[in-house]
Amino acid sequence: MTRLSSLFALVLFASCSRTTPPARAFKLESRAELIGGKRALADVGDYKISNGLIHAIVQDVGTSRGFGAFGGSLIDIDLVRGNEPNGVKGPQGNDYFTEMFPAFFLTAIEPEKVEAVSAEDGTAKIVVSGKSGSFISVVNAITDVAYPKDPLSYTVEYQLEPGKQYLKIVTTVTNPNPTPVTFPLSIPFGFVTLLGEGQRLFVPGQAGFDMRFHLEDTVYKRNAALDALPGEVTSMWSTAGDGVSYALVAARSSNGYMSGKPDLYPTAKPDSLLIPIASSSFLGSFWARSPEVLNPRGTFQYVGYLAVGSGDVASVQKVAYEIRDVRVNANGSETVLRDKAPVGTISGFVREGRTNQPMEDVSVVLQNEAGEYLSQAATLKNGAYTAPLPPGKYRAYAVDKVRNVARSELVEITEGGTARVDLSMEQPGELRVVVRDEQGRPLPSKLSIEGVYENETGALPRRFLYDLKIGERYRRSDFVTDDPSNPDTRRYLEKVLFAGDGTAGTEIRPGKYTVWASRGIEYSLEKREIEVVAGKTTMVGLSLTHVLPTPGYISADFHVHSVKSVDSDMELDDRVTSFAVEGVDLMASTDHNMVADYQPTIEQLGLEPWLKSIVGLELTSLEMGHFNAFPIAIQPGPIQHGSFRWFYRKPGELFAQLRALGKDPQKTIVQVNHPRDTILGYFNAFDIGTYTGTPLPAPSSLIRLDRTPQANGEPSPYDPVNFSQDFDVMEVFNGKRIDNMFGVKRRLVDGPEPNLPACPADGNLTVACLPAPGQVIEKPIKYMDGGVEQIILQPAFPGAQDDWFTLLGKGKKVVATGNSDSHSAGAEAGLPRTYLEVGDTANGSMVALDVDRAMDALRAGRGFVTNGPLVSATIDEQGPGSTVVNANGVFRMRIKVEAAPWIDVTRVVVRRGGRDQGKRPETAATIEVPPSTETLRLEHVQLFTGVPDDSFFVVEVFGEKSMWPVFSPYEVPSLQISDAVGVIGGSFGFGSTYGKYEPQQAQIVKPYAFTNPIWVSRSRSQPLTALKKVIPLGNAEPFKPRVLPDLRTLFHAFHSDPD
Amino acid sequence: MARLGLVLVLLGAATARAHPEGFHARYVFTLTKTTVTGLLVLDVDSGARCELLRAGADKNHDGELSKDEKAALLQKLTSFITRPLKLGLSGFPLPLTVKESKLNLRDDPRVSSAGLSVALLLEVHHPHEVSPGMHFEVEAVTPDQSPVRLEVLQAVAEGEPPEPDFRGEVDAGKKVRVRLGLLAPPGKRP
Repeated sequence: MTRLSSLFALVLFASCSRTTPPARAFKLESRAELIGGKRALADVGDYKISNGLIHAIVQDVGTSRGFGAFGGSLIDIDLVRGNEPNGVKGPQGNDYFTEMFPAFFLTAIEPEKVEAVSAEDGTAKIVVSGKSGSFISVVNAITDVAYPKDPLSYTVEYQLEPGKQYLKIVTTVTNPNPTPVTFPLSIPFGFVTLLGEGQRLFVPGQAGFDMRFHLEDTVYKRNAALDALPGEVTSMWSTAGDGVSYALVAARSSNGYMSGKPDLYPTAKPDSLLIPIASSSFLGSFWARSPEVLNPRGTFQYVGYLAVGSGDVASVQKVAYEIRDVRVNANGSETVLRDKAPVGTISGFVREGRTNQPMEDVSVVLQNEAGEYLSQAATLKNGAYTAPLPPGKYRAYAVDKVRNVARSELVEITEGGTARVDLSMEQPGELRVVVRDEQGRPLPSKLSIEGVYENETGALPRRFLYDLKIGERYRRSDFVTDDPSNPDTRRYLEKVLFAGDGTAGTEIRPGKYTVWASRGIEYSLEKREIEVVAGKTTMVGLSLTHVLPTPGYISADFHVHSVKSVDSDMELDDRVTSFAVEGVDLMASTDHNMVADYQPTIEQLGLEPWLKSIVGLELTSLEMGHFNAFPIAIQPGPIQHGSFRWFYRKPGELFAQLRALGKDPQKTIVQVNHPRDTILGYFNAFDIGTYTGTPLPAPSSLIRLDRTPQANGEPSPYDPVNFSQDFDVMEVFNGKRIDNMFGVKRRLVDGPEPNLPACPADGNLTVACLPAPGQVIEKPIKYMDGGVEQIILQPAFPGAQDDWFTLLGKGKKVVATGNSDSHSAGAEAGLPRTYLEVGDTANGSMVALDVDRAMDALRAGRGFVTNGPLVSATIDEQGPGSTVVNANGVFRMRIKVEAAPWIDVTRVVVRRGGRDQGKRPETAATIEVPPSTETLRLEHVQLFTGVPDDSFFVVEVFGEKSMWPVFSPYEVPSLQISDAVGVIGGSFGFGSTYGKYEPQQAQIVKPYAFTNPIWVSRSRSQPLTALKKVIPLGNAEPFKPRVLPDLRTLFHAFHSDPD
Repeated sequence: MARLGLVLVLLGAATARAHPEGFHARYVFTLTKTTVTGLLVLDVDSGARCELLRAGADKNHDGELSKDEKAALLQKLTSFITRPLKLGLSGFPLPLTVKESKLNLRDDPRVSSAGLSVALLLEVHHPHEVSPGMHFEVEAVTPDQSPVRLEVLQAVAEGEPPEPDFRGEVDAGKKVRVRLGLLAPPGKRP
């Protein structure tokens, strides 16, 4: 009997184990049900769908917790891993997906409702419905002409079937109006995805892992038309990541966006995607085409599939290739939306040649005979890899971080067949470095391992030094024009190591290198020539000297990102170590829309004597600016720990609410970041006149924020009237972006001249024109005043420092900072940094640092900004942030400039501005500094007489030589949303006016420093201070409008008799 | 289908309580922080009343309502709704702005006894921002003094204590006051 029941139980168990569990969808009621992972954003109240293989979460209605504008997006998706939720850390999943939402050209769904539906047949779906919403209003000038005026209804269904490793995503557009809706232009429909850093995009075809340069070098140079956006045509996009990967494919369509345009899209197939823009924070993929006319009650639908893999491209492509989806039509006929792809399999092993050891986590990239990169597989612990591929001949590349690329011969793969390709990689050498201070103690320091490349052709290093298409590491180069006879012009960085405890080691390709040890701008720079041999360890010991002690001062960086930001993959330990090795004393954690605390990591690593961190936030809007707040309190409960809704709110409200995040709201510092950085800059977004500090009286560009008044007639939150100056600090110097700091001047540069007239000598511009070399390029903004046309001048490419001078000139005491805005190891920490006069606690261990005093110094502007030289300026012994009073208008300024021997200083300029200033402060003095390797570069006293009342002085320090290898050039600007806008705008005829004189982002890093202002006055006056506006957190939580019936739609639903 | 269901739920509920033949008024108002939107429907049961109304609009007495005559009939029926209707916010009268109107002749443009319907879409912007505790006031009268089926729905901001919506039949001429909570702003492009 017992045996019988056991057998019965076994049979029952066996039959159960064969049953595919049903999918189900539900509203999350507990955080234990979340997915978890680095990019996990979901919370209770969102909607989850799962089938035991994969699970995904769609955000509830509201505003996006990711980078987008609206809720209702797919925000988390992962394989089901079966890990128990950790009581402290929460669910232990591996979501590495930021956000995805359907995009109708450049609009999205503004959701009104999200529902979870689990059907009896085991399928489940999450349904998001709503109306069209502009998620990036700066392109409204384009969407207004391309999009129908009548409202349309949108529904997105995220469907999951039992046993499937992909979501089917069905988007339906319905015309709820009683009249037909006409689309003025053929609009592409698809999806916008924000992958975030850590998921490396792989696009099968010519791009492989390098969509960045493939778009720039090839795609954007192809023909585009008003109804044919430029973009890469491909079968899918996929990713490679740590333990999870994703791929998006489309259903077949006979009327896709690219069909019928063989001249523009010659390789397009019925299921092809068009990718016009690809970066970590914005990946556009389109395939459907809007109908010319949508009749009343008419619908239009497109279908995509999002697959989930286990970390490499091959695993997720395998899922995508096996998708077969058939729709049964109303008349019983069948339409194949997607069919299985005919594939074979390539597999093999990767081993180290000399030792024959299997190599784990090597990337094997497969390229076909035509040179297209079609797949990538990661090797397992035993060195094995496997990948599905369409029939054809293929070559395999094995790519590893510390070895040269290994390449196979071509091998043929047949449908259903298997081919084997083994690869052998060379053995690396090993490097160990110890860095000590003058007294022999281990010193946190940075190690830059410099190599020299050969270049006879003058090609860019990325053409031969590494291959981004197969996923090789980018290696920074010196950005100097290559001279075959001079190795000092052909330098690159093979590796950069952070020796947090003074020691560091790495495997490295065999070869000759120079090891440079550095610790920021206060320390010496030391080097050692080495040769690394395969299989051998090279030991190096170096010593650094603190050549420029700064008693009473600390250096600080108030704009820092880590893995807590979606566009950074820098883990917290690397993040804080990168600051310790650059000699930064104080950092603020300012992740995008996420509050994080780095101090526990500093303490875990034992770095607290060197570095302190305060908690902050970068409130990140898509298009109206980025704003930091610090020091603030981390809120343990909310998923974003205190970040809040920015969408469609007035800047003044945001500033007031940012203050409320601080323990003492009146002491929270609000900083406007990179005010002139494309559409991410607050001053650009609100079209601020550089010479007025107020919104321009007429728009300076077609691409601008949505200023459409609200339905109640009130101005848009983005209207210029809502521009607020209730911030404390302006980030004048951001990273390596000198081009965002200074208004662009006409410079001498080779290339064809733009078709522009010369500007008139009297400065009365009426049309775009070219000034004399060295002059700021300005453009006339025309507006009507009392029926008469007026003209105001505006720099064509304004710089944040000019804005700052204008605000100072108007008496607004805005403090300037310089911050790195570092997202990765390649963007050096503390470059630039802000020095603050803090007093005794600045000396010695940072454990004793008085942060309140540092914040007081920042609020008062007691400090300077630098990427290299240290500058001290006083007037009558009073420094920056002070107001010096002298009734006669006579002031004696003392200037001292110091720099480490490896930093160049050539010139010091004293600027004076005030209420009397013109377009920019006058140059009150220029002092040439002779070349020197001594730390003291200048001590100078300058007398100023007849200084107007309420003036300010700022001292600038310039150097001309590159700061390589400590600070590498800004060599590869990332593609931004603005590039997408520019590309799309380009197809609408918005071209480049100034041609070769447009600002160049790519540039070497040269020394530059400037002080905060010293104010001078002829009479002492008591400044008036008022409490800053604060919006209590409780009153400003994100709202979710209750879904009211849309009476307009109901009204339209009524039948009326024809006239 | 779902939308049709919503229409029926919102406006067809009037049939729940039988009401003598004549005029049937069903008014729905939605309130946001700055806007009142109203959908007002007046049905006239078929019969002599409709024939008189149609005949009154038939200026040339040809027995057929032309485009202009239909417009006149629409205006007449519109005035049945708007003339006696009073809307207010805590005593502050709100202007009645008819954004759109529709006439339904039951597909019969003749001077006949076929029923008539008019639908109005109102949109009123509050002259001042609504504060919690204020009252929305409605006073409506139908031509035959029959009760009005009234619904007032408010978009209370999330996290705020919910204020009950109003749903019910209101006798002609009786003022209804609905207490308002902290209302959410209207959608950007409602």
